[in-house]
Amino acid sequence: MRPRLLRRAATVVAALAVVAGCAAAPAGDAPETIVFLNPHAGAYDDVVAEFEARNPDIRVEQQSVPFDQMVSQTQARLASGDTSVDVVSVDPPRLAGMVTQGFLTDESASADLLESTSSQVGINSVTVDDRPWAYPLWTSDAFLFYNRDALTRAGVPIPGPSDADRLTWDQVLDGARTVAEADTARYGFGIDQVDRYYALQPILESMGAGPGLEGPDSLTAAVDTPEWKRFGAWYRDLYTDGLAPRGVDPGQMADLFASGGLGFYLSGASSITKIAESDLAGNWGIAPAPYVAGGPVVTPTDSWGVGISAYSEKQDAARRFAQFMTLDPEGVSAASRTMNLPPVATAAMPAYLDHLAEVAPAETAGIGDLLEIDLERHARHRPTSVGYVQFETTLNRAFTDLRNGGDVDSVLATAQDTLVRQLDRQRELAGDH
Amino acid sequence: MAEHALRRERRTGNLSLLIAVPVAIVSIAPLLWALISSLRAGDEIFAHLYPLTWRTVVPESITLDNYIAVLTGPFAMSLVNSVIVAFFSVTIGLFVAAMAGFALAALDFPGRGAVFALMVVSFLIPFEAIAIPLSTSFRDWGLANTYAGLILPAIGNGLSIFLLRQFFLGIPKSLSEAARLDGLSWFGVFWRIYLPLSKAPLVGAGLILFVFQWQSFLWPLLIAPAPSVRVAPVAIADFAQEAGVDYGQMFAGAILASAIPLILLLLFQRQFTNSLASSGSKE
Amino acid sequence: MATPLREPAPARDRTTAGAPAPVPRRRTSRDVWTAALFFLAPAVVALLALRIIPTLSAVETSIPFGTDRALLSNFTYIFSDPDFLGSLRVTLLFSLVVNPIQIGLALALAVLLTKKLPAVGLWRTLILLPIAVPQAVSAIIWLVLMRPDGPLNGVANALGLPSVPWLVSPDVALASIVIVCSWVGVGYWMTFLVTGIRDIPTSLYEASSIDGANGWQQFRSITLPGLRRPLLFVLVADTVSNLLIFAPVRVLTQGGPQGSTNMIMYDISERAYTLGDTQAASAGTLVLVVIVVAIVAVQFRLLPGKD
Repeated sequence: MRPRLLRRAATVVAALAVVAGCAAAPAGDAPETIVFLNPHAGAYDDVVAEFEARNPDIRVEQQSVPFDQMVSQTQARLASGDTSVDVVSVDPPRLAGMVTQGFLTDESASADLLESTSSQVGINSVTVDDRPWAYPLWTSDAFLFYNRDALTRAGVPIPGPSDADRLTWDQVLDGARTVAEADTARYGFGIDQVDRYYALQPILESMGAGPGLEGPDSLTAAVDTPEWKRFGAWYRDLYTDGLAPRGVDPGQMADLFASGGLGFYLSGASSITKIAESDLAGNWGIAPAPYVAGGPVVTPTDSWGVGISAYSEKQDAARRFAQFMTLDPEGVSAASRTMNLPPVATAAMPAYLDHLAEVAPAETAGIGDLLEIDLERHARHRPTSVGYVQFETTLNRAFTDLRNGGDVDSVLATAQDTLVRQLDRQRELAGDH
Repeated sequence: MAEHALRRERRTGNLSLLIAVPVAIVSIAPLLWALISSLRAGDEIFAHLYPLTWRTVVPESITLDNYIAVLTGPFAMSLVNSVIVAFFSVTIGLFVAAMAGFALAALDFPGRGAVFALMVVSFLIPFEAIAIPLSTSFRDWGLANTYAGLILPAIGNGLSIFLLRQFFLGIPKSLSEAARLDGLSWFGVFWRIYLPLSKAPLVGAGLILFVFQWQSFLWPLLIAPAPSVRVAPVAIADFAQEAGVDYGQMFAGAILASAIPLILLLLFQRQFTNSLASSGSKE
Repeated sequence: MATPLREPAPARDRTTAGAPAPVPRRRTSRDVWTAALFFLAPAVVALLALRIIPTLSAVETSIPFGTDRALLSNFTYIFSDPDFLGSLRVTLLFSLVVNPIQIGLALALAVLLTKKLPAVGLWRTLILLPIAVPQAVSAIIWLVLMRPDGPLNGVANALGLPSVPWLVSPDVALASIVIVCSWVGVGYWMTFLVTGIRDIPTSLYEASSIDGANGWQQFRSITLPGLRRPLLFVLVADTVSNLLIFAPVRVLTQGGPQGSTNMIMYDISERAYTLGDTQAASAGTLVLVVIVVAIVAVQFRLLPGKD
């Protein structure tokens, strides 16, 4: 970092202004406290309690920020070298950018430990330049949820639960149209993570489109190809036809399904608890995520992991906590209970499936097999690129414009231009060092 | 007052009511809707959103579950934090701003224009934009996760200084000069003459400081994310999770966060109105 | 008392009794200096440490010292970026629309709510209430209200009107932001004008009533001139705060659809907090500060209330 004359000047001025004694009390011989920055308020209470019980010399303070603030919090605090963050939640596709900026510690020393406990897909998600930089906690998958009552009354057949029963998108949308026409639900279909690349990449790739970032370092944008435009038109029409609800945020979508507003609903495992506890209880089911006829089956994967801040002054304690919550089966189970996402640690999988069976026994009966098949055969990572944040931000905006009825060619051309400009800028800034 | 003028006043009064009441209703309608929603059970908020029926405004059943959940959770603490932070921001900030406004209005000294320009420029700088370098400095100074770290940015608020100076300029200088002749110190002039004459602008400047803190979101998120010093807006935003938003609890939190200023306003309605009515009151 | 009186500066040095007569000026000066230092020090120190120095540090960040790039390269970059240029356009358009609406409504309501009305304090409080809700939260309430199948369109349909694409059409979204910001702002700015009107001596109105002046004439000849200072304050403060609008954009539209609500503050924070490009963000901040200073300077100059 460049010398900061002004910051020193500011310190002098502030010394005059700041009343002594306001600063935080210094720690005595109390247990060492590590700070865990995450976007999942309440999700880690169990695992923290469990960890503290086993490690009386360490206390974990959780700093949970709203989900859509996580990127900016990480950026603002770690870029300024904030030493008060020790463990931080990491979204795998953003890992490369964080590593380039020097936010995280190299965890190569734990490579063997990771190999022996976690699935290869999970390890790949935290690997940059052949070295692990974080500990993968969860993975993820998409499922087709359906409102049984709405389908039955409209005369739409109930989809089967296993890989062999997987529907094509045409079949799903036909069914959705029938539901909407029969008015047994307000909308035929809805996507949980509306406009997010995570949810749409599998559909894109199943249509034969590329991931959008190409080249050896995934720094070349390609989002205005004919396949992307075909997808763009398909996505736009979902909303212009009124088949899917326009202007409903990701945050409002699970409620819409749970209150009976959707026939089909593309979502992840984390929605299961909410739906099982809603008025829809007993009246819904889970089928495999659809694919495009003639194309490959593609499913999304990866979810949050945890990394250790390169600026942390308590890295050993931080590492103990990170490993406990991601590698120790009991730690993983405690950490997965609230979010309800499938764990990466293989030994924790049975406990996870047991937990699902408790929440929704009938509906999740086939989910273990489906998860295994999807993760092994169909899962596709998001591109690993130092420009991923730029990529995702630009595309999410483009998807929103399409959903709102924007012209496909011009929206994608704008996105392509923006990406080219931003990735160039990324290279230019990287040249400074 | 002439008889016909009185009658006209009454008539325009009633006419005015025809405008005032609908405007007031429009102002609070979104909050009333949030209030109704916060009294609904779980997923009912979205069940009757559209089309408009009587169910949109009348819940199937009224439950305080959201409020109980919110008040027994970490939110209660954050509400207390917000009140503490707002209180000290307003009192300290008001004192500092009034002193500066006084100097800029009542004292003639070379460079006064330059200092005033500094004050004006300082409120033209978007606080959000300088939050990153400032938060770095605050961490260096050990102010992270302290009340002081939250309160300090409200001190030396250029806008409130500007407001007070505007008002102080209207106080005749002859008053302070006479007092100085009688041997009163400058602080005495400030404390015994200017402040007592300025209840209305002080209330206004206090409102500016209060709103600055009550609305502030990005700064507390950067500098005070620890649960022990978390403020209400940040705690409310926490109801928005990756897997969905708990709208019931979020609205309950919003209602509670706006109830505190409302209670203050209603409790101090008389003082507030009186202080707004300084010298030439119309009543 | 509030009527501005300008008195010629009288002699003011008789406090220092016994001092020799010929040198009053310098001695007063020192006395005033000490007082000025005492009264200004806390505010000046706070402003320097909390506003000015961080801004200077933004200048430092925006210039790539010690690299191969041109010193102004970050400025050339943002001025060649259609997103940034678009945000300048949107911000100016927004300001041109929102400021007259907010100040006009605030003034009209202030006049209305200083009349003799039953429960006038209650109406004032209710209209002020939206400012009590943190903006990050009230924007979420509007997000649901303005959904295509939300209550607002429900009301429109019930009145026989068509649905409005509040946040999803590039032609309407900016107007929706204007509505949300005005909902918050009108009551707030009104409060300052109410204060100002109440400072105008009632006798002025009574006298003109007897002369047979109607309400509009009274407004023109008494209220407006008497409101000079508070109006200048509201004009400047409202303009500045509208140039810096951030939370509603972030929650409601994220700058969309198709960049139609990408206001400059949102553009800058996206660069700083999401894309991690602090250099471009700092450059954008400086451009914004220059624009705000220029606009406010013009307002100070144009308005008769210049003091």
